[in-house]
Amino acid sequence: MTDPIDPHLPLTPVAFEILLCLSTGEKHGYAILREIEERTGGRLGLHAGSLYRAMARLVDEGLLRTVEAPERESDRRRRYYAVTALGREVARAEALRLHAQLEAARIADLLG
Amino acid sequence: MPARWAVALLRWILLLSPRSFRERDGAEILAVEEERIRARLAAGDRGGAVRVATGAALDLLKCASSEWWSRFPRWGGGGMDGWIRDLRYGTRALLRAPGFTIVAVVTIALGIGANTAIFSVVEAVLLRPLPYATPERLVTVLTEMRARGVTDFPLSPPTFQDVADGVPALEAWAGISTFEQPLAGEDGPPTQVATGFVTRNFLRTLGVRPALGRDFEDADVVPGDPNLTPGDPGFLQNSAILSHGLWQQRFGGDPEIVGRIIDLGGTPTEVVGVLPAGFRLLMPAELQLLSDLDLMVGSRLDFVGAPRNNVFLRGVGRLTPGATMEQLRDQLARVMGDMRDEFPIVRTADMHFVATPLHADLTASVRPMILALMGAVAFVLLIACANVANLFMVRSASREREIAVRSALGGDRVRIFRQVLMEGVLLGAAGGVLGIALAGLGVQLLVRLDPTNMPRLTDVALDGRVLLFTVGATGLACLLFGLVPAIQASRPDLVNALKDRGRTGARRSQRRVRDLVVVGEVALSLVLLLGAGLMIRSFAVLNDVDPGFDPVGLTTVRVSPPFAAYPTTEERVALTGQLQRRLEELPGVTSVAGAFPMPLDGNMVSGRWGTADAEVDPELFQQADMHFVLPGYFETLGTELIAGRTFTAVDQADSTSVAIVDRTLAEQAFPGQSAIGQRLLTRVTTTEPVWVEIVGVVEPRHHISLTAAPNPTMYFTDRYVGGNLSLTWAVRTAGVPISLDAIRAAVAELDPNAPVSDLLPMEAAVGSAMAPTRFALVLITVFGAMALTLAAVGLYGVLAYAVRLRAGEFGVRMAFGAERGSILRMVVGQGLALAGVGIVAGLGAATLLGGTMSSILVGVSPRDPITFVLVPVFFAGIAVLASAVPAIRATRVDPAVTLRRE
Repeated sequence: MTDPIDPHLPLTPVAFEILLCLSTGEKHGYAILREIEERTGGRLGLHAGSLYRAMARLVDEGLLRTVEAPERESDRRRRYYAVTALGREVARAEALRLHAQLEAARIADLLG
Repeated sequence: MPARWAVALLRWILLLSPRSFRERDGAEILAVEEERIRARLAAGDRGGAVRVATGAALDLLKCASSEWWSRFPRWGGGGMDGWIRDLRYGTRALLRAPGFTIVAVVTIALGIGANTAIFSVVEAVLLRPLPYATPERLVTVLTEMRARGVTDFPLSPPTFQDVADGVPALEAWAGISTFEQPLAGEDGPPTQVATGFVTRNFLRTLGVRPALGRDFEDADVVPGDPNLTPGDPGFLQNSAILSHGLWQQRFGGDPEIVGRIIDLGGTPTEVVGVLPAGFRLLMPAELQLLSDLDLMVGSRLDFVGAPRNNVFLRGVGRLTPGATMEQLRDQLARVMGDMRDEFPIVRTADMHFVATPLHADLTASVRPMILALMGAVAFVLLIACANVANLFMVRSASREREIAVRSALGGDRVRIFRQVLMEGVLLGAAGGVLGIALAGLGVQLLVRLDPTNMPRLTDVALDGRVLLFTVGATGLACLLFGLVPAIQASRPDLVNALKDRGRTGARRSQRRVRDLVVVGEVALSLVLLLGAGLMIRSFAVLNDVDPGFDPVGLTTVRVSPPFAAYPTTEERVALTGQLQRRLEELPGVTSVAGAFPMPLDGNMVSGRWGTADAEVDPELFQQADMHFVLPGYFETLGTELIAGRTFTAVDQADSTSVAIVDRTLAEQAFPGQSAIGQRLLTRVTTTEPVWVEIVGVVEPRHHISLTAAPNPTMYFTDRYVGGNLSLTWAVRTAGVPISLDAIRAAVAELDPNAPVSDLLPMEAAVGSAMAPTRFALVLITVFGAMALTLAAVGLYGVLAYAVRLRAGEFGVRMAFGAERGSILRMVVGQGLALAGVGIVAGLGAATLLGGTMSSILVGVSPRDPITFVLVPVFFAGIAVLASAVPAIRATRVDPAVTLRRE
């Protein structure tokens, strides 16, 4: 049996940000977008269209799933997203991959 | 409020994306973007809100295109990569079958190349707007005299003025007339310059501005003798605008040219401007205007006092914005109505104005030929497509097993369709590129084949519009020959194909499609061949036309003495006589005569004649061509004298009132009697008709063209019109033709200021009179030959394939004792049956289409029975040949081998 995580790597920057963002809990699109914007300082230039396309793909690949809005949400029609177990594993693997790259960069003295 | 607008915009953009995407995420996306914009507005960050809104809009556009792209994998899977894979696969498949590929590419290239070349003519001649300002509003206005069968009649200055005053539908109205006159001076040898006499607003009417200096002004037009016509001795001109070419060649591009005085026709004339480099006078050939003008003059001409019978102006007008051709024609008819009340001649001749849009008028004479050629090449392309489609089907039929296996193994049907279609696209692209190269050669050939009557032929080029056409034609061709085989290939008959007998089990429906395609090819190419046959017959007719003179050994040359230096008739006649004698003394010359006009030189003088009856009833005057000639003219040209005598030195020395007429006129004027000694009324030099005596009758001759029946013609001596015509000299030589230098030297002895020009062997003039027919003949025959070859190859291909499939059957038949001859007859019979159906269909189509060709045919009916019998017989012969090769192959089947295989 092949590794279920490997085919998903490397993640696109947007996909990684989405998984990262949802690893702290279920969120809806606007919250995800705002969080990514804040964390990256808007460098990704991400907009809702691309965000939802990326999330739809992640849902297809089984890394995300949609969930019902929690009780506290005022607008119950809002679609919430959550990370699947596979998604968490893939995000972890991607983080480790990036970490290894960062280490390599540090050893190569790229970071001063 | 702005947030709502932004969301509305985004909602619109969202409509561009696929529905599934919209329905799944559309509402969420809009909600999120709205919230982002509102958040920034609430924070007072208007700029940020705008940035988010524009960013979101662009993002949605990108999403829409990406979503559509991602739909493509459903057309066979693999997305963009899949298409590239199919492209590569297709390339490999084509390279594996080089024979098929080369035949297909060359076939397409021929079709595309021929279409591109002819379309480039259509584009330059028929479609491209004229190089004038808002050319679609320019019109020509002529008169015709319906009672006399006279068309394209020029205007007299008073008539011109009537139109200027009475037609508000024309915002501008200008006149032109062209003639040649000598240009003298120290800048070069005396030369004949093509001069456009124009009204001062002519260039402004066309919307052309001089590149240097100024346009004509009112001050350039001062009253002169109203009875004179441009080019007459004493006709004054005081300002000129030079063509760019004359300025460069004659005056070395002198930047100080404006303001210089030049010696034009013996008159000092001031250069006031220079025309732009690209300027050309594009006017319909029937107007008989010189097209390559060296200069224009604004002339002294008093329109008020000018006589109505001095007709020489060609009218060009510009429609007032909003005015229609109908309004123009109504207003012109009203002007003519007023003239009808005032002048009896308008009534008796039944005179009318004819207004035509300039571009339509310019192209009217060549439009039928160009459209016939365009139809011919469209047929060639259709036949080429049919051929390639057939090749494809034969090929994919032999690949049917491979495709069936792939289908059975779960190969996507759409995928197979796509692969076959991709091969078609590749072939089309290769054929298109090669076709453009062929078209480039073709265009050069077309220009060299110059049909002489085609305006703007030198502008023909492969430009953007033509290439766009080529891309379109290629795309259409790809669809035609790629789609049918692709559909067939993607619907393989799995059960039959996979059975062991699949190889021989060509499906009936597929075979029927192939047969139908071949029948269509045969029909189309037969139509083209019939066209070629009719053109060949036309050319033969034209070749047999007796021009009424002997062109062999005859050379014509123009000598134009500066008549301003010879003010009296006596001086001019003396000069002409000396010139004739001097030219006769040149070595090799057997006889010499001058005349105006000379046959086939493009000039024509019309006049009217009447018998005694016309004296009481002016309506009985009739139209004839008028020629002014020197003694010895008929002898030199070899025109046969039927009765009476030719002109003698006495006729030229004295102003005797004698004339010679051709047989046509003699029979019209004096049916059943001898014309010799009879008198005719004519009005050549006087305003009132005077009597002339007929001293001779000659054979009719072709003067303007070899195709039209000769007009009734009258001949006068040069002396009769005062000896003031610039004669063209006909020089008959035995052996070596005369050289321009020899004539120049002889003329210079008499008058060094007389320009000598237009040396032309008469045989060349006859040749160029045949050029339009030759042009159509060569092209239609080439296209017909292409079509015939393609159809023969198509027939051969289908039969060869059928024979291969039926090899087993033939083997069995022969094993049971069938004669080789019977098999041969069977296959050839099959080919002839296909060809026969196609021939019948082609004959039907040609009968229907016949009328489209009639205007380019000469002396042959578009349904000429000889052509309609010979061409199909010839075609049937070709069909037998094309079938014979596969038939012979069928008889070579070894029964033992096939039986073993069965």
